[in-house]
Amino acid sequence: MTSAPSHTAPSTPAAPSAPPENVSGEKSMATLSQLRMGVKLFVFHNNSGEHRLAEILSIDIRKDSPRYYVHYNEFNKRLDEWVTADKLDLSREVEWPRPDKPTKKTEKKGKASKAEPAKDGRPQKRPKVSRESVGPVTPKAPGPRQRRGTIGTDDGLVIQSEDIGEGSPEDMDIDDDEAVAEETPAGRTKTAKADGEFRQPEGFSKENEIEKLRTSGSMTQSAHEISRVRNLSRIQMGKFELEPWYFSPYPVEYTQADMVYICEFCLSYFDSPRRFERHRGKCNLMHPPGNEIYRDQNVSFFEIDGRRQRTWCRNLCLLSKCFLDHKTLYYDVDPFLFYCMAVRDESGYHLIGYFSKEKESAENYNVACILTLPQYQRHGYGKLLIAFSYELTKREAKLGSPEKPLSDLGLLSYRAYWQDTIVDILLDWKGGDLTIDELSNCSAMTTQDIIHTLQNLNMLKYYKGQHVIVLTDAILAQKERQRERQRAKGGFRTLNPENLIWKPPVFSAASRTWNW
Amino acid sequence: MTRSAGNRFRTRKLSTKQSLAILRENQIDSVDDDAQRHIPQIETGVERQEEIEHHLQAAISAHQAAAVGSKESKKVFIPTPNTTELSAEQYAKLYPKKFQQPFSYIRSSATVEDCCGTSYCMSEEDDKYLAELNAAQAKANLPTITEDEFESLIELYENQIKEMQPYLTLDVNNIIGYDELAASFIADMNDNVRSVSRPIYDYWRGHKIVRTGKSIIPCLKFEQGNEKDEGDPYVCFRRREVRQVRKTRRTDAQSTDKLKKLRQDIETARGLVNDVRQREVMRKNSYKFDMQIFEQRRIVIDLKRKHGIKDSDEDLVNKPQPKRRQAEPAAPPTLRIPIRQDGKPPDADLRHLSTLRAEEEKRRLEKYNQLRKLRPLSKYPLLDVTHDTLGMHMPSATVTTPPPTKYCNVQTFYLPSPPNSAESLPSSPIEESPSENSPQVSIVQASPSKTSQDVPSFRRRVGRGGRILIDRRGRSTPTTPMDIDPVMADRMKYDHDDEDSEAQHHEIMVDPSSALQIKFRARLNTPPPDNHSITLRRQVMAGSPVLIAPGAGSPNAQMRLPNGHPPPGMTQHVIMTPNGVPGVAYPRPPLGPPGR
Repeated sequence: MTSAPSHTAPSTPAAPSAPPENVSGEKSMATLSQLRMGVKLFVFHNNSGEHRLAEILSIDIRKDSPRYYVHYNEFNKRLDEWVTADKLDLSREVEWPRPDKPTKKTEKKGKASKAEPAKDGRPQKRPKVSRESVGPVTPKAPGPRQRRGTIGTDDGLVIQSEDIGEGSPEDMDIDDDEAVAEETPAGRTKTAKADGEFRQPEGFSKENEIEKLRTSGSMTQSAHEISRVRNLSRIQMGKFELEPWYFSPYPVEYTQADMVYICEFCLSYFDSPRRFERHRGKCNLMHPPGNEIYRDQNVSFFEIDGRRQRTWCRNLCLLSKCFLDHKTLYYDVDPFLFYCMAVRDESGYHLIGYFSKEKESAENYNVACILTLPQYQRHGYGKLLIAFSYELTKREAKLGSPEKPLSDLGLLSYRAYWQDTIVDILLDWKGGDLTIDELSNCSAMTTQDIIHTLQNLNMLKYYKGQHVIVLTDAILAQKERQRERQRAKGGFRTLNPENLIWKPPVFSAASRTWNW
Repeated sequence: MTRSAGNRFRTRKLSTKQSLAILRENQIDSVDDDAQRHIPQIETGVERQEEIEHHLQAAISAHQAAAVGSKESKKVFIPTPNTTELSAEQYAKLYPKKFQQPFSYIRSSATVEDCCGTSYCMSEEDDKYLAELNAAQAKANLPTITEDEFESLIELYENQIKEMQPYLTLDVNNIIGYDELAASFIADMNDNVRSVSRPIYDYWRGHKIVRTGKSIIPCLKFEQGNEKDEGDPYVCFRRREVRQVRKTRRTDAQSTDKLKKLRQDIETARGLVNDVRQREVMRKNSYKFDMQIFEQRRIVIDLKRKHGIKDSDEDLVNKPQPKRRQAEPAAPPTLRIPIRQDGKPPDADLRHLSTLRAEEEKRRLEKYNQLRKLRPLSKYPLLDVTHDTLGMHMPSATVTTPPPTKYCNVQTFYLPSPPNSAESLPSSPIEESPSENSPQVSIVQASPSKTSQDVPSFRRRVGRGGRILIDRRGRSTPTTPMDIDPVMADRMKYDHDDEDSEAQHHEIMVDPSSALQIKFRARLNTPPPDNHSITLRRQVMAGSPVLIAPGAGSPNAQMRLPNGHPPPGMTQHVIMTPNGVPGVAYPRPPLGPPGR
């Protein structure tokens, strides 16, 4: 339920976060047919029962009526959804996408994409063969029909570049935008021709579009746009059916399926119920494929080496990417260990959640990604996972902190754990005064996280010329309530460190060089 | 105001090493909020764009409210999409309850591939096709195949095509035909499968073409090595770039060494394996022999029966092999010294160097005596001193100072020249030397002996280290012309390039039996000259201007006086040659002419 990406590019939090109202492009009334990606308008949000400002991220046609993938302003992306046209409020002005937001995005993506995946996914060993440009793609319903609704710089145009090495003469006129020019020196004109063709009906001149393309860096965005739209419809896993929250790079063919079936034990994925049934008949895995390192009456933990269980760990990452926005699957799983929590019953060990951990973290992170599967969330498992990660860190005689950024849910979970841990230590402390270092050593938390927590809870005060830790009445009351709740539930899940049979794994220099 | 300003001034930064009192809220009365600012603000760790999200903010503020003690402790959750649960029957159908919890912690290293059997799984479409196919087969009275067989056949095709046409996606129409594809595994199929393998190939081929050559079951997109991969969100699990190590000569050398060592190790391993192989071969042979022995014994038994021989039958059983037992104590590689049975010290069997030497000496003597018998020396009154090169036991072999020379004292050893190994030469001095001087011992000097012989003879030998040695015989010393400065003359003594001119020099006739010569020889036993003369000689040789006045009582003068003529021997270095024959090494220049 919490996320921290393992390898995110440094975020650029500065400008784009400003309220869009102030910086965005012009506003005007619009008709349904004028809507395109990037437009912001008010959309009725079912759960809150009100109209909210939302951005159209993708448009697609289903059963001859368009539907729109919208991202609600100030809502997490996991609440993005497909809406039908009747949910859109066109009685108010819509906000057109600013044509000029190139630099930031280009920077962010760096040298990233100049083209999005060819729809057929054909591996392109020889660029010359597959140079023809491909139409715009939205993952939901690819096909020519969707082009109707897609205008503007943000649509998912696929632009294939000419051979860069040959330096065709067209390079000459586009050197004003270096970031893009570098990547697609020659493909411009071609591209422009390609989209000009479907744009003309909407009444845009070809030249304008070329200009837009050039200045807005939409080519680098195209890939980005794809990953902004959730690509799987539903997932069936074990006993549950769930909705994915975010994009996950399962094979692009699976995005067509109404339901993706995931085997609870080997985490393999299938797009047809029959295939899945056949697989279940053959699969004899009944627990995470590694060594059990912890077991108590409730849960077990398994340690799995990404290098040794590559398929399983990849499957796990694909699955967890559905629920972790900032996770990236850019690199392979080899440099990570995966600690998987499972509950047991007669059919096997059911995966509840996991966290991954770098085999060697340069920055002393004790968690890379951490997730409680959505079907098991709000049962206290997240806290157990976090506690286990600190238990391992204690065993290693280190201090640790989760890799940043945290997700919203991650932050809340960690804060809850930190508060709990620190308050428990303070209540049990018999030794009089206490330094933050001592607190840190007891909990394996970094001093920064401790100060952060204390401060957040308003427990660090300056009194009579000295800093003091104050156990406020509110905190104590909260603790008391929590204990009551636990008693009511009949004992709360906690870890018993004695059940942890584990030694920190050691990796040789050679394996570090060659294995990941 | 002043107070708070003063406080701010005094407030120290919060240190992690600082002891902090743990207080309850009622233990403090007033808190200066200003001072809070000195605690560094720490970021939440959430991306800033997301930090402002509505639900998170709501949750945070609710939490904050609880922390500061607001009464309404309503839990605020961040909404997430819903999950629904399958029915229990549905679940049980897919996940049978057959798991048995092991008592100990599970340890497993089986991979997904190990656990999932055939990777291909039939779809609904495959079902339909297979049903039709089986129906057709049944109608034609041909065997049908199971779903598992169908799946494994498809998997076979998939794997085979991946191997044979890895770039099929470039041109799927080029897909190879059934015969070629199935050639390698058609033999392994059972008959049922073989009978339908061709129609299934066509079915599979159709799918393959629809999939434009890609795997029928969609698989993850991995990097293909082109730049497009970078931005493709579907490309995942890239290999991490291995950091390029800078190449230097040192690293080169290191890797060379590593490779060498590796090579060596592998060679060693290979040798070991080879040895093991040999051992096993020998073992096999030994069993073979055992068997042969056994067979032979059977024959013996038969023969014995036939002939009615009754004995102890000892030849029919293996006797304990003493050899093996001997080998056993050597097997443990410990260095313990075994205790001897006979009570002698453990090293009693070790041979001492002295005994070795004694043995060596004995052997040598035997050989010498043997050789002596062979040699025709007995007819000469000679004592063979070949092995007694230093003349230690020779009463007559002399290590003496040379007779007074004209200018220089050179320590010279006169050593007996050995007999020739060949038959005695006519020119050999031994023949002519008068035997009356000493009845049995004839000391043959390497230097002048025969004045009567006009023609000097030389013998060239190659000595130790490749030195060329010239043995010289019957050469007289040229006299120094009187008109040349004697010192200079001495220095120039050997500076002759031309051998012929030397040969024409006037020779001094010496009668060895003359009183003078006898007297000279008698002087051979005088003690070596004192140091002074040697020093003087050195000075002379070094060319230092030492003035020697004739008859001035200097040792040189004195030395010259008794004889009045140069000593019979040239200054020469006697060199012991390997075969114990003393040789003469000339100073460099006269090395020229080979002997005789």
